[in-house]
Amino acid sequence: MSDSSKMFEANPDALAPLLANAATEFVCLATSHGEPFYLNPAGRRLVGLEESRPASAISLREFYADESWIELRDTAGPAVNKSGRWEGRSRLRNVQTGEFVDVYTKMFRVKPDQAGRPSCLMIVHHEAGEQTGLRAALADAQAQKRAILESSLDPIITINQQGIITEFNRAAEQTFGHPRDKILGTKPSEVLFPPAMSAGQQDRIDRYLDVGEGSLLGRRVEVTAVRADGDTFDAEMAMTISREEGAPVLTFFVRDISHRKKAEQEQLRYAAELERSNHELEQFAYVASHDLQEPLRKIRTFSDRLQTLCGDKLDEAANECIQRMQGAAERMQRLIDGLLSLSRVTTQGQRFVPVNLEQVAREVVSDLEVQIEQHAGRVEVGHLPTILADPLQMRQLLQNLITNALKFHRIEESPVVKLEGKYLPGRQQRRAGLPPPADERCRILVEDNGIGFEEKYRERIFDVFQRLHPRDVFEGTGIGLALCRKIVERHGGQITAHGTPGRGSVFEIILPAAHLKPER
Amino acid sequence: MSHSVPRRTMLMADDDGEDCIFVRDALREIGRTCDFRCVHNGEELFDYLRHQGEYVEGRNVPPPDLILLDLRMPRKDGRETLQELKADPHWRLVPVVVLTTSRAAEDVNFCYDVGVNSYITKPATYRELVEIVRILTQYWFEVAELPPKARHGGKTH
Repeated sequence: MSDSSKMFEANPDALAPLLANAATEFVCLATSHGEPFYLNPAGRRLVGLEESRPASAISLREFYADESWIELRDTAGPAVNKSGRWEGRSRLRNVQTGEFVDVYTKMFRVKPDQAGRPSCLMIVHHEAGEQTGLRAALADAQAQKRAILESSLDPIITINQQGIITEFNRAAEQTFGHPRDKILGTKPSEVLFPPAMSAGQQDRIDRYLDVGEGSLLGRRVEVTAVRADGDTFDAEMAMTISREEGAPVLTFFVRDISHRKKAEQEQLRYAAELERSNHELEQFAYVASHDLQEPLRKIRTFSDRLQTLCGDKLDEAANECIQRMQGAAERMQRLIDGLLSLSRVTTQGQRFVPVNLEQVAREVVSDLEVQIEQHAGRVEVGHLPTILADPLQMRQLLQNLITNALKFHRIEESPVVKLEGKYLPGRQQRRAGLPPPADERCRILVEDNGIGFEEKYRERIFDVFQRLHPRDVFEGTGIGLALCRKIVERHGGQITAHGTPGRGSVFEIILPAAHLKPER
Repeated sequence: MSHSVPRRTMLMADDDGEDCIFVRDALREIGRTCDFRCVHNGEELFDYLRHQGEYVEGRNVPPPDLILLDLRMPRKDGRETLQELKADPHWRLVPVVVLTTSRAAEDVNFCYDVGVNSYITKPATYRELVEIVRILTQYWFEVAELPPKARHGGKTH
């Protein structure tokens, strides 16, 4: 034992002023009546009292905010008298600057000692503002963290540097089916991921914890996770690293995406199914049309032979029956041909190449010369764009629309059909020498002055075998416009019609000008 | 037989008996005297040509000068039969005319690819058929010059 320790042991009183002087807290000794006789240097700094003024020359009252003084006098004083101590908060006043400082206060009664010194009062303040504020802020942050963790709809899991799970929120409990208290202390690879993948998973987590970076950082990754019952599910996971008391802590945000995945798969399956059934339908139409041709050909051939063999032996009525039969068979043939051409739009489509629609329209008009003359009509071809399309189908489209417009003319007026077109610009600029931008479209209008139609039929006229007029007024099979729609749809466009009875109709076609993706 | 023009044989392979009757009647109607024979699928066609199956006796099975071939037939269909015929050194020179309901481009392409001599779709009326039979027989039996080996007429083997 050193000399100094022996000395302090023999005379502990000698220590007190040393300790008080070294303390960072406000330490004040006062008589049991509240008259100070000692204030340590830290206390003097806090209240702005110069070294030169002795403690006995001051009144405690001047160092406190009024409400604090009243509390000390009325509450703390009696409490110390009764139980020997009091703790609470006070507000000190710096007598030089006039600033207030919030402090935490402890008051003790110091018992009289053997040396005959009377009982006195010790007042200790330490700055509360910082400490309690921090504590409160910490508590607030903890509560907030807790609230976020517990109210999160997605599982949140944290692990420490040893890879041990230290947090497992309610959503995690629900998603994984493990209770929190069973999970804390385990490793994610042991319980949250299927064994097959957890080795890699663990490696990545280790690397992440070791160097604070890795392939998982700042990315959403899709993983397979496993529930308590052994079921695996698709999850999306994001990770973030933070520090808690100097050590890295990894937080996983997990989202159960099995529903979304299932919906996606369902959608894919549905699309495939639709594609297949469409294909089947086309096949059906094609095959049916072929197989229907056979018996029909027989009906026509036999009725033909019947008339050749014994037409001169039959009377007029019988011959008319044969003729009607042949007429019906011929119509049937046209229907089948129409159905066949409809199914061929997709099954026998050609590759898309640049097609000058204006040139196609002029060729069609030239082909229809006889028909146009018959009706004493006129077809005006305006400027039409060049687009990427199936040339034969564009020809068929324009031909059907023009034929249609000529056919449904009014008796009192010769038909005038006008074709116009223009580009509808896309977001990208058009450049000379390059194909039109992918999102550029064009609009083609085919307008006539014919009989028109009622607006309520504007959808129905595009349906297969739909006719608005009796066959003996306007002949036809009801295939023409259905074919137009099918062709336009194969090209990724839309066709609509507007009509005014007795005034005419307008067919509007919107087509993509360029196709990046060729049709199947 | 003592014709100045040798009697020709036309062999039709079609599972549709009525179509065979139409062709037979058409031949009769245009006054073409020719030996008209019918088989009902590709297998039977080769039985006929190779004197197998029900033709094993080899009697009254004149070799054809022209083969009319339907495409859609049971057992061995027309496409397969055509391919085999045109690969057979003994029969590949005999003209084959496909007579079918199919207008499909892939059928037409296939047939010409493997060497069909002509491709005709079955007409819808009897009158058209008569016309087709008239043209076909006239062309292949009178107009066209064929390698002598293609003419098996009158020979048996």
